[in-house]
Amino acid sequence: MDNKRITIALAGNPNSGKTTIFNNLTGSRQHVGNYPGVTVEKKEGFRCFKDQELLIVDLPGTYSLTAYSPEEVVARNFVVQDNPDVVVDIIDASNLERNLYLATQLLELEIPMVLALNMADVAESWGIKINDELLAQKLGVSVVRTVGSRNQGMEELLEIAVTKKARSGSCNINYGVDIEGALEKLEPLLAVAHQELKFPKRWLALKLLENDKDIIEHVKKISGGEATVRTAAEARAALQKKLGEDPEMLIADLRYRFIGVLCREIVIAKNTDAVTISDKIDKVLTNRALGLPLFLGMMWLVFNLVFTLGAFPQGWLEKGVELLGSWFGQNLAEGDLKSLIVDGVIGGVGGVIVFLPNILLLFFAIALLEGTGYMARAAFIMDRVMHKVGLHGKSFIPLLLGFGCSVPAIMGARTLENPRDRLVTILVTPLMSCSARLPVYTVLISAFFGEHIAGNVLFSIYLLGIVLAIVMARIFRSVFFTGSTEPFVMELPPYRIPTLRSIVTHMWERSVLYVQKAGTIILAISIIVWFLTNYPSEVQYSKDYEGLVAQSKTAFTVQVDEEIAQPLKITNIEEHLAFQAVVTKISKVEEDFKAKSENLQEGSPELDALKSEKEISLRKIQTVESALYGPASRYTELKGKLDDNKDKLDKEQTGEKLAQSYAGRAGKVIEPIIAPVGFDWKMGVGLFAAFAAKEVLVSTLGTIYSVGAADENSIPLKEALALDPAFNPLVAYSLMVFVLIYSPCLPTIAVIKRETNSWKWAIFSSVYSTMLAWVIAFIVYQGGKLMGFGG
Amino acid sequence: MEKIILGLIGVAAIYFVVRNLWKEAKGEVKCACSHSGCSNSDENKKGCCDK
Amino acid sequence: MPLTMANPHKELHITAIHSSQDMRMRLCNMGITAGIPVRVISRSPSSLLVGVRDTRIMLDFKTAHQIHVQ
Repeated sequence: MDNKRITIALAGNPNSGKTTIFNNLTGSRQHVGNYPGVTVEKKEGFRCFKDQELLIVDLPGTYSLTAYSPEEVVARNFVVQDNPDVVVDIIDASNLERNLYLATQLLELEIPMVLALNMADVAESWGIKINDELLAQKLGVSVVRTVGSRNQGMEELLEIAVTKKARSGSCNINYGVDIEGALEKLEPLLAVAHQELKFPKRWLALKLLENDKDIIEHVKKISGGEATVRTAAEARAALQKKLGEDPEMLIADLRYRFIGVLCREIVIAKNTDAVTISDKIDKVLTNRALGLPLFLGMMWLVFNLVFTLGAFPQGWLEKGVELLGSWFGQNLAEGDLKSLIVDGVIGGVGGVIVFLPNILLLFFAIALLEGTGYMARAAFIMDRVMHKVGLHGKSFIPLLLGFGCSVPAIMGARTLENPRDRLVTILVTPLMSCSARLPVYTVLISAFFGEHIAGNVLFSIYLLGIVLAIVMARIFRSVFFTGSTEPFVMELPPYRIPTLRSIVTHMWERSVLYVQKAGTIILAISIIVWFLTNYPSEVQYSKDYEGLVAQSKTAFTVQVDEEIAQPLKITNIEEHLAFQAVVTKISKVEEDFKAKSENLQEGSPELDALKSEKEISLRKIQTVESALYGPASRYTELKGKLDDNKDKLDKEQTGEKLAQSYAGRAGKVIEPIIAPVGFDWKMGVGLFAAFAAKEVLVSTLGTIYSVGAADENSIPLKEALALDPAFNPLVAYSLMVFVLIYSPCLPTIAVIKRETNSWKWAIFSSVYSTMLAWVIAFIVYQGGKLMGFGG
Repeated sequence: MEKIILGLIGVAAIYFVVRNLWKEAKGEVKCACSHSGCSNSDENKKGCCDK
Repeated sequence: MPLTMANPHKELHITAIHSSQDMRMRLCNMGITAGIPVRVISRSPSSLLVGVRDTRIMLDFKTAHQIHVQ
């Protein structure tokens, strides 16, 4: 059994579906690194097939094999010098001509090849019929039909690789008498170069005629190379003079001509209607007047959906967490361990896990937009705006990815060739509110804003992020990095219907990551926050709480005795069954009323209706129990006051304990800095902890309020927030604004450092954004107060 | 007894957080993305065809 | 006339590309060469979206201006 590892290299245009096929072949067993000496990403994966070990290399997507970009050089060097057993060129069947441009160049490298005719389904739906047998014959290599998005054709590809049936093929392009003549003269001179550099002689000769900088440099270093290069340069000049055009262009033209002839032979039918449909859609979506409003409308729709649709499963998760908390609360022995589990773990992690539905919906929307090809259109639509700040529409794509997570977004900025554009984009990307901040917004909006404006508030925050990103890009561009805008060329994929499979896979991966994050870093930080808010536990209180509680209890007993027990001649009022029964009935009516009227406005018809209902129920009890009703009513009243008082004192007590805990004291220290933007120490602690991950703000507040909860029952965080006098809608909005803008989380800072290769920019991004956050939150808060919004 | 359990949990949590932050600073980013370009240092399980 | 002044939706042919050698090769790699049909799908003050050889390419205004069609 042949145990040697077989290497398969995947080549192809960007957008040809190469990455999908790579993922199909390697699953999750991938490794990403760098090619030595360059910033080009090296993607490899492993796979077992028929007892053979396969190494699959995903070469960078390229349109050609010139020396104009490091990606192309890396690809062609790998193919010839690293000796892959087979090169699979992935061809977008719906875009044959341009894809074959690369194929012919690969064929000229004379290596074992297979053509994967990918997206065969799309081509078919467009009525494009390709005679793949004829294509295989003409080019001398196997052609396999694949549909990467449906995982079809993978086995055939692997089969050919494993059985070593790949041939080197040939595409004998006749470059015309003059060029062929020059090639004939140069080839013998390149024998040594061929030995050393491994490229075929004919190919080397062609490159010299094309003035390929990379090859020229390498040939010069070989003995005799200088002379060869000079001969080639002379030939070039002669050709230029005779044919009136740069040989490079001539060669390219002839390639396309060859391809044109080839295509006419192998493409049987062609229905241009489908192309026009894509164009028609584009005419609307990229329309000068409609494009931008449509885009913003789309965004608005997405955020509203995330909020409203997400609310239902979110509610179920909340109930689940509540039940879990109550169960533990009742079944564990009193003490610190119980508090750790109920307040720290369940309060913290539970607070974050409930937002999984919202996160999933957000990523669903992003996957949908990307899969249909609309994301690329966003680059065109926003190009106008980007241009005004000195960037390209191309910069907008990483920014859009930032709505999911800043980390891949910042890595996506690699597509920007200009280092200045890239840096500005990287610095501005974290302002595009990432998904980790969504739980923060959701909990604050649910707590302080009505259902009908919830979606709009959310949209306003995201919009603010976009606006700030654009403004800061402008500022950075003009202050730090000046210069004219560069030209750019970018291909847009056709519109297509994304497969359910790809979207579901994407969502599943994200949910796994989210739960992982919750169960690891968020859990750990929740535990730490619990410790910091629960200790020191021996606190010096300002009042003698226990004494006060005992006092009011005694006062209650005395009053009840005087007003009720003695006149009725009852000795033990607490044990008097008949009396307590009436009390219970009355209490129930009052509790019902309170529960139902919680969210109703004063003076509203619903409230009045409930009030009359209550009266009716009470009258009923009175008629039945006429003797005991009056006293029972009074008893209920007094008991109510006692309970309220006890609650108040308990709250004060835990509040004091909380404020004197380590977290509280630390929070108090920074309170002067954050007070002008409306925050108190609790938010300060949360903001600080959220450096590790933005969701931690929610889990930290969850733990703090849980620890500070006066009673046994766990209430959802949003209710606890609503009850806190330090909070009101204005403070909530100010907090959301601050969270939107301030320092990106540590993983993001680390990525910035890696992508910019300097700690300077990483730290700068953290510092500038925090300062900016403070300024804007200040404006929002103080401005809001002036306009009378504060609570 | 309870104090010991609590102490252990606390120390474990602190250790976890610090180690995580250190790893992130060094560059082994906890990948919160599933996009191309993610430097997920997966161990390449060689010898998958163990006979 | 330059591509930037062309009417959208009309099928035109590229007559010449007046860009630097580098840019011409870049365009060529993407499929844009002299002599082929091209149509303008959409335009904005800063860029153009054109259709060539079965694909859609977005060009910045200046580059598009250097491509002549008729």
